[in-house]
Amino acid sequence: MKKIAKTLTVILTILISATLCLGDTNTTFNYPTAKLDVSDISFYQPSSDTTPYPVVRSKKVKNIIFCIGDGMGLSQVELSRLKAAGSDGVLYMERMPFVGLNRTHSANALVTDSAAAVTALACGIKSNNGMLGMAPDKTKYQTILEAAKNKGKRTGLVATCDITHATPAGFASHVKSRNNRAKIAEQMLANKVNVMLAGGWEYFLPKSHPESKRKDERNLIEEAKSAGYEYIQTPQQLSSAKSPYLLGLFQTGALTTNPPEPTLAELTEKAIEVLNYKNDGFFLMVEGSQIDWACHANNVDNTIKQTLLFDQAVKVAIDFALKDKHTLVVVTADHETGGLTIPGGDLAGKKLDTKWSTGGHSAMDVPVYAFGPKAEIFSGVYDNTDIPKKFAKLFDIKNFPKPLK
Amino acid sequence: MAEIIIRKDATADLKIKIGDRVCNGRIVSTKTNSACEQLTTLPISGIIKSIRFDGNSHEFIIVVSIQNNQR
Repeated sequence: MKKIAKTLTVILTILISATLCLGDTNTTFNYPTAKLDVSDISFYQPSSDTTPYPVVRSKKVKNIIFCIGDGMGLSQVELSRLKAAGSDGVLYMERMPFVGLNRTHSANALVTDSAAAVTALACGIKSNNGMLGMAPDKTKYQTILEAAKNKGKRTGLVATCDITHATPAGFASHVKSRNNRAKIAEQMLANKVNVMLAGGWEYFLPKSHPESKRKDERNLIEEAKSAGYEYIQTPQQLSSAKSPYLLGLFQTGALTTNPPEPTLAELTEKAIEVLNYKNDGFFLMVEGSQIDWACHANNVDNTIKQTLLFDQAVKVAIDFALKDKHTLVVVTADHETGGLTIPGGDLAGKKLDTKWSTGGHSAMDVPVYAFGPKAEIFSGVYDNTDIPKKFAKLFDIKNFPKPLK
Repeated sequence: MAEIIIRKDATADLKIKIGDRVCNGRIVSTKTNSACEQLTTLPISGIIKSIRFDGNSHEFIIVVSIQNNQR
């Protein structure tokens, strides 16, 4: 009898652990990665050096690389670190010497969405959920990317989602609803961002094309070519691309984040190569878009995978900044997704218990990591709108935030 | 059995789960005050058959099996 009870207890424990490890299995997610094994993280090599990167004393900030992990709260970072490097290891972003927290609420909700959050991070103003690049009264505001461009800097946007998704869109478009993706594509192109590397040709193709989601016959890919862009769709084209205006769309919609697609790190590397061509400096935004998606699905394995893919891209940015000495790298999130906690597990990170409190976003503050000249000003607790204001000061941009004429 | 599909922005948590018997007017999720807010209550009674997250649209896609007396 005792033996049966013991066996039942073991089975029950295994079942409970499995449930905790897998999270809520009632919600699935619908994009190509969902069909693939996301538990393989062999692509990621953790840092053997766990010491902080050095403090850079230079006063001149020529370039800014702004890395945004969509939905990446502290728990997502810790979970990924535990799994990839163990309890004494570090992610590359965690080696950045200055750390802060940013508050994420929007103008009209405690829990922000990515549109209002990116409006704060790009324009330095609070807006309503769903709105991009404008105040709640619909006044359009200049983004830090647009302001940097006006200062003569090259600009770039890199993401693993559709390029017209909220976060990349928020740096180069101004619309009342984030769902107006066709309009966003038009505005992003008109903004002449030097480098745009992501997924999402569906909003660039004319309505008559079977993969198009547009409601008109505008062919934005042809328009981009006429405007001087080199248009690329494959890893081979990516490696040979040379143009100062580069539009790389590698999927109909979001990237799969699997081979043979270029990784976020490879896209980041290429973007830096193109943007660093002239000596006037650049502003580059890099988004790990699908951390949020994995968290919405309460999928632990994919949350880890997407965070590590993002961390690889952060490493590329840091490696460049270490050599350049005039590049500031700032890593943060737009909000936390999933209300993730880690109530237990082992020190090696082999078995981790996880709990999700929501399938949506949460109101938690999110971390900020900074490396490079003037990185120390990103220490402390502040509002998300303060981040682009700090960027503006470092680029000597006057009058920011500023309504568009 | 007839089904309807409801799409709901995923910013806020859902107040329903798979298998729930739900009535017309049941709250689907808390309001997020989004400029592109969709419905926050169910337009029909039935059983929640599936819930999927669609990253591209950032929406939950909820399939409700409609009860026979509603057809």
